[in-house]
Amino acid sequence: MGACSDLFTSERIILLVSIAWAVIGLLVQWILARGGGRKDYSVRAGNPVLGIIYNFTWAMTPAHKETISLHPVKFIIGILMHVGIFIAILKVLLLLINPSGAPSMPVPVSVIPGVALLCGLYLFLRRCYSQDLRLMSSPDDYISIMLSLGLLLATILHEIGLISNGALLIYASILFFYLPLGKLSHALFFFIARAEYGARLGYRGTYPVKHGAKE
Amino acid sequence: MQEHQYNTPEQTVKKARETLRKAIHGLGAYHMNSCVKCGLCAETCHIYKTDPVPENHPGSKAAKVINHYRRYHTILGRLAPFLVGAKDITPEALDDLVEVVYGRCTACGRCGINCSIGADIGSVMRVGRNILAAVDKVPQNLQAVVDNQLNTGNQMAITKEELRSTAEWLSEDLQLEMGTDDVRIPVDEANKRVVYLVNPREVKFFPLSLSAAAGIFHAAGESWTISSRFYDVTNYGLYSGDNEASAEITRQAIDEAERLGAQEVVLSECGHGFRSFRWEGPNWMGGEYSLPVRSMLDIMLEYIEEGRIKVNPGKNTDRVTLHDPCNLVRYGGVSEPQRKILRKVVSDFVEMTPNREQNFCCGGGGGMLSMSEYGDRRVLSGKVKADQISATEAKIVATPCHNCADQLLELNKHYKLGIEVQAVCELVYSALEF
Repeated sequence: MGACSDLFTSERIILLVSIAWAVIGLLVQWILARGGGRKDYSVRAGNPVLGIIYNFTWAMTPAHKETISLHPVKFIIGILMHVGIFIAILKVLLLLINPSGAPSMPVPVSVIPGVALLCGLYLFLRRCYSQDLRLMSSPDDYISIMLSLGLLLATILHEIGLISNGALLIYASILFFYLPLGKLSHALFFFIARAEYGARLGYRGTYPVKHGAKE
Repeated sequence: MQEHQYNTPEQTVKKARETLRKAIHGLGAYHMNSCVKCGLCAETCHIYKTDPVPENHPGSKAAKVINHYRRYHTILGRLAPFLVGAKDITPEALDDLVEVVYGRCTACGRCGINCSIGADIGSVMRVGRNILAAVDKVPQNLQAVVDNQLNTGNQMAITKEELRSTAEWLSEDLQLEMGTDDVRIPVDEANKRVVYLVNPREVKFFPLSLSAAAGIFHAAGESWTISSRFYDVTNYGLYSGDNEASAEITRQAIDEAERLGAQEVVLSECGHGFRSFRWEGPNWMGGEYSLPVRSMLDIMLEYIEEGRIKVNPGKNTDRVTLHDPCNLVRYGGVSEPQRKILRKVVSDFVEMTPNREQNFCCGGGGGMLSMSEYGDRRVLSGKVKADQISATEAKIVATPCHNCADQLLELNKHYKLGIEVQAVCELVYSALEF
């Protein structure tokens, strides 16, 4: 009975509602973006499935992606920040399903949110100081990264016992409420856009590319 | 088509919003929602590389289109537009968009293929062109080419008589060159296996590539013809963003090939023409074609591999490099036939770096060559391609695209490259043993 009541604390209910909001919000956006969809009447020359697989694998390597080969450090920083966010979300979800508290992270894993926080701070400052980025950015670009950095910070503080389970869950709820509204929706559209592009270029035979860009 | 003038700003805005709504589904909206403005795509763009100002940044250019999408198709864009940078579509905003989507982007797709997220910025920019085409804001000279195609059947308004006359004198020259009276350019002949679509620039300015194709068809024993009514392989509707015009231009040529009783349509070397006819055309028309469409590159490779034509690479001894047209290679999927052909017909072939789907636009894509108002930027942006060419030390640049050839000829003059520009079929013809 006690465990059951712990499971339905107000923080957990708020988090569940926010996750449901995020999932439904993203799905609605997907449906709206899809509209009636697109039927391709051209005769295919390649394999769309192979195109999708390529676009999620080799296409993301430095030999096939100039943005990575030209900016390896920035790319790795971006990846590290995202890995940290995934770990933070995983911790929140474990906390959600386990009223007695999520198990502590192994030491190597617990370092990642800290590294991710530093990486995120770099990306935030880059957006503030790069003229190119500043001019194309809207408040949403700053809000989204600040919310993500906040989650990383909350995860670290929770890990070292400075904030409660409830505080972490409430903070995560804020993030989930915002997720479908702005740039954070790329959490879904990254996969959809990459799959669509991979399928289209696979259909036409452009993908998969079998050589390096510098051949 | 420029036939629907909107009388009031409200009508213009309404039409623009309607077009935006229709254009985004299943493609544009995915990519608009995925761009995170990370900024890493800057150097993938030839226009930004040669003029690195924020207005030329691919992310910035895409944002100008995406901001209108956000205003009408996202929750925050509707409720608190300032938070997501959402912008109302207004007549003034549409005027500003013209420079962005036509003047600062060739829609070559290189930023998209290199995007860290996977957002196809080229498709996003084409949504911008769709909107502007719908409200008659296509740059005048580009629209004039589309109108020519719709009104006369070809982009240069060449008359049937002029085409027939050109075909006749080219045939006579070919007969002298090949030493046979059998070779000719057949016009409007029914029930030939192939209907060949050509770029009107071949008829008007670059007849060598048309006569080279005729020589190759003859050597291969092909049954072929061109139409005097609808023979234009180009489709400037792709550039202007007018999908209705694009569909009509496509339909004209396909219907004509059917009327002539052909079994196959073969497309002359043309980047955007290939993309238009091969990939976009059936979708613009809303249905499958009744006959197959192939590139001249595929046909020439087939002739060589089947032994239908004999070629001698010793006849082309100068160093040759290859420029990859964006719409043929990146958006068209044709990268290898031209390479296989060149390795058979020239003795010294070198690749540019980067190449294939990673090639840089020559600067003449996206209809840039028609829009004289952006001429200086076009030539400046071609510096990337000029440097690539110089690095190869090639004497000849082969390119399967007349649009690219025009730009490369101008780059040759401007940057003093000392090169010749040839279509692939010209090199095949030079290597023919007959």
